[in-house]
Amino acid sequence: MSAFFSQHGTEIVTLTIEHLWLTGAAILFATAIAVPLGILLTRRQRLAGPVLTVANIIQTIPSLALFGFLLPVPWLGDRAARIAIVALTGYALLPILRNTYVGIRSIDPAVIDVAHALGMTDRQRLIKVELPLAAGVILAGLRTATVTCVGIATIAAAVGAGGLGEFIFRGVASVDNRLVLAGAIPAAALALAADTLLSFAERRFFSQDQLQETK
Amino acid sequence: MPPAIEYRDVSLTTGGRAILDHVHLALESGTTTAILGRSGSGKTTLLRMVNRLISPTTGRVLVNGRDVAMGDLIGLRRTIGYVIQEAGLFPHLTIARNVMMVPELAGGARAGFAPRVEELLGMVGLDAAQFAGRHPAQLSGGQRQRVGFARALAADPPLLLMDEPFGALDPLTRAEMQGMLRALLARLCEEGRQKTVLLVTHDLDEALFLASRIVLVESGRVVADLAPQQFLHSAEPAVEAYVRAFHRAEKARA
Repeated sequence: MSAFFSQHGTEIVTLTIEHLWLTGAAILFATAIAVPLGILLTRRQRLAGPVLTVANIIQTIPSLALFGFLLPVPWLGDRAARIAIVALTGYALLPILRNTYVGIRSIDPAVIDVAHALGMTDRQRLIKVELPLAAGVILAGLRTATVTCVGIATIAAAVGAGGLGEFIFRGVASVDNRLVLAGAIPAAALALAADTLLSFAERRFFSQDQLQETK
Repeated sequence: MPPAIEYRDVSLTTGGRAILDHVHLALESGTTTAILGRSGSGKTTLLRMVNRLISPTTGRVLVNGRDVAMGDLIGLRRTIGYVIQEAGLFPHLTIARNVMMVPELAGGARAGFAPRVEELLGMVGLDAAQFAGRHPAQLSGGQRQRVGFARALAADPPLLLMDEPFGALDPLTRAEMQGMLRALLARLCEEGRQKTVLLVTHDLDEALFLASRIVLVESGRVVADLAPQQFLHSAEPAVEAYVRAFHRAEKARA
């Protein structure tokens, strides 16, 4: 066991960092796209159906196939990490987009009515009322997206993008369960850590909204 | 001086159904008018046209002689106080920020708001030291409604719209709040800050207690527009029906 670690220890760390980088970059891109788009959909209701359907379809493409589809794309195909980040961004879109849209849409209509009646501009309503009240739901979407991406990122190794999937693919090829676990356990730990961290943030927001106790 | 609020031949049709049917109405500045009617009679629609939350299909609504459809919508809304059932407070903001929302929107510096918060909460009978830092969920229904009134008064608007402000309260709290509102309006009047109030209600008792004029709306039409005493003795069938229902308890006891 210790021999295994002295042989692969550095690699585990490197691949974990690589895994984090792929996932983190994808979540960042997906958030930058999906949150503004989700807000736009609450303003242009007619677009909501079609746009959410497209995000849904992306979500249903098998991940291995999506990585494969992206290989021949010019610029993207040059670097495996680019393919991985674009594909992961695609998977992260739906949960963030849907939760942003639903989170804002499900705010008590009386509160939105008052926001209009008090003379809030569209921007003021968004920043002072809608985003704070939807923050808990949006964060929940972010959490789902992150956990999904940590899992799917293991497939990125199939196109040579690195990450903890390297171990898993190598382990499967050489029928070495220790290698499979060296990839799977850190990946699972990452997913759990992300889940815990984000649900903590989510609860903080939620308790701020529906505060029952005085500070 | 033009009327504070004027409806000129206002109609609203949605989905082939007439919500409002050629309404003419003028409310003099500084008066309290109650719009009375059943649910679905169009009374709330009338109120919501004043700050243009709803626009008429035909006809015009004028505030101080100016068509609300012209000019700056945001500015119009910030000069009209708005109170609704259950107050509609922002659940994520403190009472102080709720109360001072309109001045905040207008770009006021939040740091200097504390004295005004204290004054406004005092006007509605709440102790600022105790309530300013709380959130709406920590208040009772009556207290939240008081905050709603304080918020409507924050920018000292000449016009107040109240859409069944006491609808969600128990009868005792309601009576208490009606008394508070009447005293508050009288006090503002004495201070020379007289308000024009448009109050939507389905409660005749409330209308009689607070308003100097009662407008009865049925199926989108104004069927009576009378002073309280005239209202009680009107021969108009729709008005009689309302007054009869109101006196039912007395008759049952006799």
